[in-house]
Amino acid sequence: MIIAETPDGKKQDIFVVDYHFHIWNAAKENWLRPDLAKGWINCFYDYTKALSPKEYVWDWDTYAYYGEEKALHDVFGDGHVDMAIFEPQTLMYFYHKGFSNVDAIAGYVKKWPDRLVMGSRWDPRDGEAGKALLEEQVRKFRIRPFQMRNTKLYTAEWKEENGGMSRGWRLDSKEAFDFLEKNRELGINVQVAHKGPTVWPLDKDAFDIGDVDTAATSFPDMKFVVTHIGLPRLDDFCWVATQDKNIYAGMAVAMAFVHTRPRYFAEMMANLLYWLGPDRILFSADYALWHPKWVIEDFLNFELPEDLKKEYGVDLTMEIKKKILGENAAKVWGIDIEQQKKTQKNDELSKKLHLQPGTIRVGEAAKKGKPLAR
Amino acid sequence: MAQDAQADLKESVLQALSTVTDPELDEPITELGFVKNLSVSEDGRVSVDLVTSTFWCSPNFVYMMLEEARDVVSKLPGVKEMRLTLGGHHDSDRINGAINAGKSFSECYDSEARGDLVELNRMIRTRALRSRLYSMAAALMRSGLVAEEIPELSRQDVTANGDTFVVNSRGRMVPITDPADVRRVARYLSFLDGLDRTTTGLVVWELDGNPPPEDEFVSTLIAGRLAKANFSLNAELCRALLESRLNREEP
Repeated sequence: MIIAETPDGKKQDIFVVDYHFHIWNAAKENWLRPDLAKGWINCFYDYTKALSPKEYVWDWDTYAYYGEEKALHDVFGDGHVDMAIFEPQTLMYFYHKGFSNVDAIAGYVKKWPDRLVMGSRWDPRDGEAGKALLEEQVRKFRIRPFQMRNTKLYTAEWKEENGGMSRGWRLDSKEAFDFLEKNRELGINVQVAHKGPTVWPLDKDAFDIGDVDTAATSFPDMKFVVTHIGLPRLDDFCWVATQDKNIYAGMAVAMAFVHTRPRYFAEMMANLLYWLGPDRILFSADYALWHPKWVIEDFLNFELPEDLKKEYGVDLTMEIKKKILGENAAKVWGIDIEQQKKTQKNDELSKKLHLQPGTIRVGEAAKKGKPLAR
Repeated sequence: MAQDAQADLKESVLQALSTVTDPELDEPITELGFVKNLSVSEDGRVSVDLVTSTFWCSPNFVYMMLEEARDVVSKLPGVKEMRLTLGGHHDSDRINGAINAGKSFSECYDSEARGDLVELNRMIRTRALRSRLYSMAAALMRSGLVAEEIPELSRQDVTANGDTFVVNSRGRMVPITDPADVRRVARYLSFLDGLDRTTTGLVVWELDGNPPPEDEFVSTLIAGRLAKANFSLNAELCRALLESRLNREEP
């Protein structure tokens, strides 16, 4: 937990929920189709290098496989995060054992169910077996009311099919709607949609979120988080999210602009606040793409420039930052923040990592050169 | 071919390539750093090596860019043969084979595509038109026009005057002199003048030449601004990714 101290001397507790966190394994031994597997992790590495402060860029081997212990230490230990929600990305076409799947954290979720939140995935091309797996996962992991409430939908996943290869699927297909019905029945009510560079058929725009729009309209009781705020289609995303109030802005990737590209980050935030308002924006550092420590500290110290405040009539106050960093996600997942604060105090993970709430000085105090970190 | 002619041809190839934009960014591929290598032989054979910002750029948009590059260069006088090589893309081999054989996207991808890129091209060009309209309108307002008078203007009211523009509006002549704003106006006008339309207004919202809905110009501008923000965010990200990519040592 963070205690943010503003120049007026006020202190506020900020509970941080990261909705999109990974533990991946892209080490060479796991490469099934080496060109694709290597192309995938190298592309991630370029994203990291492009937007991180230099001191946070690891060597390639560590990046390819950092392991569970390091992840927990970085995210909860140094990274200020109180609860992290897992979003798998299996990519079985690229990696022998998958890139990031639920097995990586299953044991840890059982051990620290108040810290790590299990989310799974589905793919309509998996048919009945996919539905049965979801049922089993709910049975195994619904060990808290907020566990196994979300699934990640990577519509650009490549898959071997009928001797050929399929480069993706759409969320508005009949098969996908059958899965959504199944999710509803199982109480998995948060769908985290993630667009990618390919989809079937290839002449369609793979980043188009028209299918999320259709699904969100047809399943108004469910919530749809659009990861990386629909980039590279921010404008479409804003239009759709203005219409469908059950669509949320997932800030994975987008958050990382805050450090090296603050003006672009400002434009993005001004638009999100203008079109969606402050209650449907969800924080993520997208670990291990970016380290939550600097992302959160920079975000707390970030202020919207006056010209954008004036033009859009919005502001990014500490209250709003607090919503984005945790309160909004807590509402979506049904997490009781006050209850979690009590449960987490002196829990096993706190002892293991020697966790203490850290004070971060924001605004003028930070500018005067006082230390940022805890 | 004489050495001078060869150098001239290379220059005109580069000039032609600078008219090709990345459809998702609305910026020229030459400015984005996508053209890695360009050579022109004595007998007029042109070879261009291209790279995109990631291994995963969408095949459809990549194809649009390559098709346009192929077409603008092939039709230059003096070009006997044009060869494009896209490097470091997950589908390089397939795309290079098809593009150099003069195939369309649907011929390249066969059953994986349902058709050619007409619809996608329309969507992305509409976005570019709107983004450029916003940039032009913002430039005019910085020079003293008010938002309400912009939709009243016809295309003829904006004229080039050396390195500047002059706008004839409500009985006065307003000069646009700031170089960045002049460029914004020029970018919109070049797009507008390329449209096949029967309307004569300055403000166009659809590719068929139609203006935005009446009385909504201010909200139109906010929508245009969002389209522009989207392009500039994407472009900035792509530049950063390409830089990382070119500076990375392969494992």
